[in-house]
Amino acid sequence: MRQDNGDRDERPGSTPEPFEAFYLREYPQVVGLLLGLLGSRPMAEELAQETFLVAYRDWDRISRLDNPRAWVRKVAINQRGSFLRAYLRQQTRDRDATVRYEDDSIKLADDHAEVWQAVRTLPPLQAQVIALHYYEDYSVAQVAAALRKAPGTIKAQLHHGRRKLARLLGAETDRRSSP
Amino acid sequence: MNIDDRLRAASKALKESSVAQVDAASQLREIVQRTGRPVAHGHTAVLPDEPQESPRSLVVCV
Repeated sequence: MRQDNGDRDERPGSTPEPFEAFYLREYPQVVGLLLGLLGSRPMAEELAQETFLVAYRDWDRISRLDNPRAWVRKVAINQRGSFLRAYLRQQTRDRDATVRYEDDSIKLADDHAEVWQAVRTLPPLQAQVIALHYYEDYSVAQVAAALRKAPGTIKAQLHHGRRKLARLLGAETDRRSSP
Repeated sequence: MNIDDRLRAASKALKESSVAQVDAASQLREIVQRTGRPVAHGHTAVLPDEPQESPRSLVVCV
């Protein structure tokens, strides 16, 4: 189900969710999103924790936003360049690695791990677009809002990303999969 | 399997595995330790900056 990505408006009158419940539900999912993009569990957990720490310090305001869930995802992948540095570092590691999966990583079947490994070879923006669209089930408009880009840019990135991944994984592209 | 289906399947698997394998409770304790503040279980009332009533004199008039 698509979620509303409008995280700017505050919700007057509704009861904000307690931080603890929000954290316990959302933290593992945000770690998964970052892990898909970064390939390193320690790095994914560190960035996720930093994001939730920011949310915790300002929870009284963030809990009243229209969509705190979208807010943490947006912050997690836009953290003042730290995400980008981690992503590029991991891309180099993936290229040079002889052992593909780290022992402390989240266990995935080989064919699924292979897909995420291929996603991490894409340019950062393309990888982010793919991850938000498929992992978070975001629409093109929602991805555009999260990454502060025009919807046309997102559509193009999605198209090119899918084509590259299909080539890398020996899969077919599907005309029906256009956003 | 086409690329769209593979991406959806890999995303679903990653999300389910993360939820099953990430220990959020211990990470929550770390947030408490780092900030030194207890985690609110319910909504925390915002205290007004200004006192509700003027301070009274401690001098007792007899």
